[in-house]
Amino acid sequence: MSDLIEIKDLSKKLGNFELKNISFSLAPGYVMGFVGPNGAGKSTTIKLMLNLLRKQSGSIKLFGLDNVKDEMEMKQQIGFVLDDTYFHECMTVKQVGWFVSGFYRNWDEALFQQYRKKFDLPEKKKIKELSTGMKAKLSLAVALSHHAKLLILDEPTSGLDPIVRDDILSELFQVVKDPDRGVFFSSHITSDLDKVADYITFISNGEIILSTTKDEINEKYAVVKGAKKHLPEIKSHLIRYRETQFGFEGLTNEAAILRKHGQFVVEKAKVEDIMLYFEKGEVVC
Amino acid sequence: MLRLIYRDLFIYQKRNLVVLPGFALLFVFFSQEFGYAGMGLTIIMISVYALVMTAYTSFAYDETNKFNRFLRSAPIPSSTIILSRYASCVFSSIMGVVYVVIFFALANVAAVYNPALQRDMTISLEVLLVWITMIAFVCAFLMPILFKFGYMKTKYPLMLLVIAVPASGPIILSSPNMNQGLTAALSAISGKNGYILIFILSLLAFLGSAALSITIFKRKEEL
Repeated sequence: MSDLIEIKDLSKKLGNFELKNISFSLAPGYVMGFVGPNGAGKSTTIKLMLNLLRKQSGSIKLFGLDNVKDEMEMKQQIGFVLDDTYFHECMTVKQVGWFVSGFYRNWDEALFQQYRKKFDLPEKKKIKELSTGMKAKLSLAVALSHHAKLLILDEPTSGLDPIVRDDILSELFQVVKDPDRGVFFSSHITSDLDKVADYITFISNGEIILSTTKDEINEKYAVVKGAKKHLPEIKSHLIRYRETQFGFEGLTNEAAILRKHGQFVVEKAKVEDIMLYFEKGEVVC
Repeated sequence: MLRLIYRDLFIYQKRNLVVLPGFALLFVFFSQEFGYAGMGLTIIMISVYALVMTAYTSFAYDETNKFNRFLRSAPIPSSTIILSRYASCVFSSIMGVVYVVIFFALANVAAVYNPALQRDMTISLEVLLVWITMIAFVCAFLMPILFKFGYMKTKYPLMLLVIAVPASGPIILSSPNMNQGLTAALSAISGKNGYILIFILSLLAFLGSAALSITIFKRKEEL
């Protein structure tokens, strides 16, 4: 079976910002967390995937389909949640379901009703009467109700309370129980990615810094802490580091070697650590 | 496409749907001033009003909600999004006409008790052609501008134009040279062939405008 997402050497220039030859892929049955600071290129990449922006070079294939030539067929198989609700505030939940159902050939009204009840979305409530969390749930219900093979979510949990976030993340778990489906999930809430993502793709300033499994991150990457005097001898094992008042802290992708060393504190690196070190740490020359 | 039209007419326009019969009633009330041409003029006036109102409201709501971004993420071709907007405007005009016809009929029923309410309901083929031509030309002019510049940037200039066109009528008519020119132009296009020529031109303008709007929309949305 072909990859759900296959992006190769994708480039796009938008004003001062540039997406520089990014490549990554996602196999069915997995959740990929797409992480990076604000302005790193997450939303631009998603817009390019959905053909909302014109790429300058490279290729984007979803389910083996070209995202420009086979745009309509590709979009039939995608469920998306964008970073805002775009429905008119006077539309009711029922009207939203009815409206969207006309565009997807696999729309499952029973499934939409099931999600609507599960998420406590009253049929007759207008969009303007829904809380932020309820709007996010409605968007997710819409995205899930046409048996999409791939869910593309652009910061779906930002601005939501932990309970709603947990509800949404639980649904993502359910989606990937089906080995033919997958989730591509952009966020800067790294704790969410720690919970659900199988793969992490980290983007910074338009470049992919790493794209790997979370298991590999747990295995290879670690935060190392030690006294300043040890920094010169360990520097070559660090990707990024920063000096503190009492010593140094750094990020390594050679955790196994440093654990054996014994002179340093080696802690498991979280996604947030990786993001922080890449953004704020000093580069090892 | 039907759902997009439904959204434009019955979700976006809820308030306007109440306003539209009100205006239709007002136009019907004053239509007696124009005698036998009253029905035709009323139909044209309400059509242009309904069309402009639908176009403006829909574009305003789309801009507020960024709804086009949602539509473009869904499996909906850009051409469907554009053509549905044109269709919504045409349907809105037809709704205005239906209101006018109903109010004319009601006025004639009421005329049994008050003869002053009597209205001439004659609609000739020429009136129908002028009506379609008018809708086609207004759509052809208005829509690409709205797709290109959006509601916010165009609302004041277009509002000025809507006021300026009827206001310039008396000036044109009072100037002998302008009046002569206009009369000559009108006589050149009058008659069956003239009507048909203008009618065909308006339909071509409508189709050309739709194609232009699709191009503008794609360029604007796909940076």
